[in-house]
Amino acid sequence: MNSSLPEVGVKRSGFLSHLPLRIRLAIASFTSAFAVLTLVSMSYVAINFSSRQSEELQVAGAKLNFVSDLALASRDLQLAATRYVYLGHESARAYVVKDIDRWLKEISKCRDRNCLNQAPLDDIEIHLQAFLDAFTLAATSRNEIASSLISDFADVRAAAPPHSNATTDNIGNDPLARQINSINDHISTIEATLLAYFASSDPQKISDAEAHLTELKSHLASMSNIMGTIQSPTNTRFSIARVENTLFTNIQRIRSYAYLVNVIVPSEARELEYLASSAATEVRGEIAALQTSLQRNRRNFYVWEFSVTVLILLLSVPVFLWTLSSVTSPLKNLAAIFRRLAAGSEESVVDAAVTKDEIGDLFNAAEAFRRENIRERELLADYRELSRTLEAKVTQRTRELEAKNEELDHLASVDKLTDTFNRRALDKALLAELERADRYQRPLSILLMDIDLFKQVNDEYGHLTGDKVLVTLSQTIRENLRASDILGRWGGEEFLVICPETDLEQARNVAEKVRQAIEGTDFELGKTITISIGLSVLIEGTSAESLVAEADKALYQAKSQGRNRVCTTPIAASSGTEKSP
Amino acid sequence: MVTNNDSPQSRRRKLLKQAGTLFAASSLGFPAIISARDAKPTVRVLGTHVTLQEPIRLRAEQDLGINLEFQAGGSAEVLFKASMDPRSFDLYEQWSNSMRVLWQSRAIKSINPRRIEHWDEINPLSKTGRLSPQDKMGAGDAPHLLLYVQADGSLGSTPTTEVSYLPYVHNADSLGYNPDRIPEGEPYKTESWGWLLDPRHQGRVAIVNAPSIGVFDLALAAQARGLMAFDDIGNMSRGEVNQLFDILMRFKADGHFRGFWNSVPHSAKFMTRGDVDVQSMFSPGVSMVRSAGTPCLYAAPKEGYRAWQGVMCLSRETRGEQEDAAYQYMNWWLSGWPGAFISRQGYYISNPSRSQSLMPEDDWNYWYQGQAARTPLRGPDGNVTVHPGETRRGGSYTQRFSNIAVWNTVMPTFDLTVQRWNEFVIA
Repeated sequence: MNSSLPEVGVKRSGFLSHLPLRIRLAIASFTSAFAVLTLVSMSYVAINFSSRQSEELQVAGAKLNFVSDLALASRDLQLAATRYVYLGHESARAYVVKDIDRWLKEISKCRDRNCLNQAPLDDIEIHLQAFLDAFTLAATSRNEIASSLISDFADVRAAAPPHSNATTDNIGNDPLARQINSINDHISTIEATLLAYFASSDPQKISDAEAHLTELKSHLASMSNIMGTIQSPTNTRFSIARVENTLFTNIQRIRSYAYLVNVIVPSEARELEYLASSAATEVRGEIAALQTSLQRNRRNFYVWEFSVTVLILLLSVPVFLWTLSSVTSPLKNLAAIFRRLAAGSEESVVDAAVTKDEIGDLFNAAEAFRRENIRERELLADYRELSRTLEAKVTQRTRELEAKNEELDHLASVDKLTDTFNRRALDKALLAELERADRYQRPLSILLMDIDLFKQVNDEYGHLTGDKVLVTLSQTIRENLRASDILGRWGGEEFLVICPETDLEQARNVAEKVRQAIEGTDFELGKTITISIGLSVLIEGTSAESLVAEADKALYQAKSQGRNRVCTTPIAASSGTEKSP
Repeated sequence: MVTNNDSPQSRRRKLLKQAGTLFAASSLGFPAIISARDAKPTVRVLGTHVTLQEPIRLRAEQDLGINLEFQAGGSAEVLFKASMDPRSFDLYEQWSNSMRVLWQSRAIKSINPRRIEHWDEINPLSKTGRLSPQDKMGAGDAPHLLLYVQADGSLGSTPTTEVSYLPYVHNADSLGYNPDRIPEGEPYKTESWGWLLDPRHQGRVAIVNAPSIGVFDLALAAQARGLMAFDDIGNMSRGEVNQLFDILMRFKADGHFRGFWNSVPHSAKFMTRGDVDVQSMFSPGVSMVRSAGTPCLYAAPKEGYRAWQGVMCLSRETRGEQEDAAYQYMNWWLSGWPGAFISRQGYYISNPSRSQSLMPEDDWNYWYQGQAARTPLRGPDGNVTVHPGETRRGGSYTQRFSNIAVWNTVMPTFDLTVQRWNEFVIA
């Protein structure tokens, strides 16, 4: 593979590249689905959170109303309690009892609704109950004290000497009656003073009552003096101690009551008011904190949503790009590989297949294709080579056959020993030349040669030497012939030379030249070898046989004339005479 | 109505539980149990929660074979009940400052000391007003001034054959403070009642809501801060009372006080909730705060403590078998166990030596001797309130009681105090 291909980008994906393509595509789809889902969920959570916080705000608002109302109510309760204690308004008592009952119920409801924190609610309930207890006790005491005060003093008065019905003028003359009336007046004054103390909690009234008691004592003392002389039925039941006891008992009762209504009841009301106000302050703080947190959360949400969106984009874009590139880059790669394969490259496709997924499979398929391609190409080359070899072989064979044929031709027309035309070739050549000479009216001569006394040579030197003589002789003859002359072994020690385009004279010269050459050739026999030559020239209408017969006649003539000579038949001579100048 | 009461819910639960038990008993057909119960004399004790505790009741019933009925309430409430109807109780438990009121209201009758087995063991504090003759006498109604019934029917310190109350528990109170908020002071040197009126603690101060007690805390504070002086802090004149409250009203107007507590748990809540840094306190309140994990020191003020004597009084209307049982119960209180029990909430008993043998040495050494605790010490509720190494602030019993500034007292100006207190609370 070419290094410029983006294989690195694919390889970087690590093991993910080994995941099947469908899985990767699934991952990409899931990633986008996840991203969308995340954003939707975040929005949902944010909306939900926001609405929950709004609800919390509402709840806190309800709490605030609750505790603010309670703070106001505790002031009203305090006022009503005071109204009852100092003015004795029954409506105020009823209001206190009813309102506390209502608030206790409200608190119980609030506890069920979880509308306020447990601790302040507990405290509020404790003090509401304590206020109710103290107030109830005060209310009960109030009636008991008033009634027992009145009945105590009624008893005292009943025991006291009866008030004189006499007129003031009359009393003026009766010291006892005056004293008794004073005693009764003081008892009534003491009672009235105590009632005033009870109504006002004014401690001055106690001193006043005690002063009246002192006066009462002095009156009693005076009365005792007077009674020293006058018998009175009342003194057994009536004594200063009795008045004193009644006074102090009632003072203490009123004191206890005063303690209750001046100290305990208001302190519980104040504590209640404080708790409600501080709960309100706390709730106000909660509301402020909630509002702040609402704003902060909203801001945080925007930041978060933005960040997450960016993050998802940052994360999912590479995933998409990676998925895309993991598909496209090997495909591009593969396309390039195919193009190069088509162009004849034999590079490995498998090396480029970095993934084991479907695309990797495609690479494998391409690799199979490449291998098949290469194999076919090799096969084709083999065929070509084979056919080239065959062609060469055929040519060779042809050439060999031709050579063989030539050789065969040669063998058929050549005399093996002398390497000249054999008789058959000579016959053929003679016929051909004869025909040509006839057709074109050209001269033709033949020379028939025979070695003189060759039998003697064979006999004397053997056949081998005889063959050597034949070879040397044929060579010498050829050397002295012209290129167009055709030499052949006619048979035995006879040779025939066909001389185209040659008239008698020319033939005679050739013959003479050959005869002389032979005569002059050393055959290494120690003696001269000669030849006799019969010459015949073509005359119109002569056949080959007659031409050869003519030459043979001439040869015979030469033999007979003494050998080593050239003879010409008469026909030839005549014709030759005629023709030659 | 200073009480050690539980929450209304738990009180209601208890009542329901009791009612349920009774109902279950009768409905299951065991009237014998109820009548058996009725066969034994029942002593009705009216008092406050600081001593009317269930473990004490159970133990006393078990030890004495009598029935005990505890009617616990706030101090105003019980005082009122006692003065309204002496027939509603046999014994009355409260503090010496209620004596004048009770005695004047003729609700109680004298006690015969000869019927008190360990009368002679009762230490000099309630008989002479101090543990040792060298000690400075605290102002106000020291317990001996209210103990003996004089020939004219009044109460006095001259020993007679009749006493108005049985001396039993007592303690020296002061102010409690959170050392995380207020730097820890030095006992008897820098710790001062004046802290209650220190403007630095504005809005974070609470006072016990009882005129005969709280007025002294505030008077000591005003005096310590040099805001005013008293001729006799235990017997303030009307002018002094008015002057004091005029000062206090200025503080109140500045929002100096977080509130007024009516019960010991209420005082503890002030501290544990973090509303208050310094306030009048009772010893059990300090224990409650500490066992809740909030630091709290019970100061030893350089001006001295505000002391109180617990009093047990006999109803005017109690007679016969009922009276015998009431004496049994009074005697039981001096028999050792109750003194040991109550010491764990920081209270002293009038005859400590009898309780000593029943107390672990470490407890005795810590509570009475002012020595460092070697082991963790538990309060009456079983929670650890004292950790090893701690020493009771102010030292030993004798040291603390030699530093009494004033006794809780109902002064002649009490009624004026109540009137002004009302204004003080409401304002």
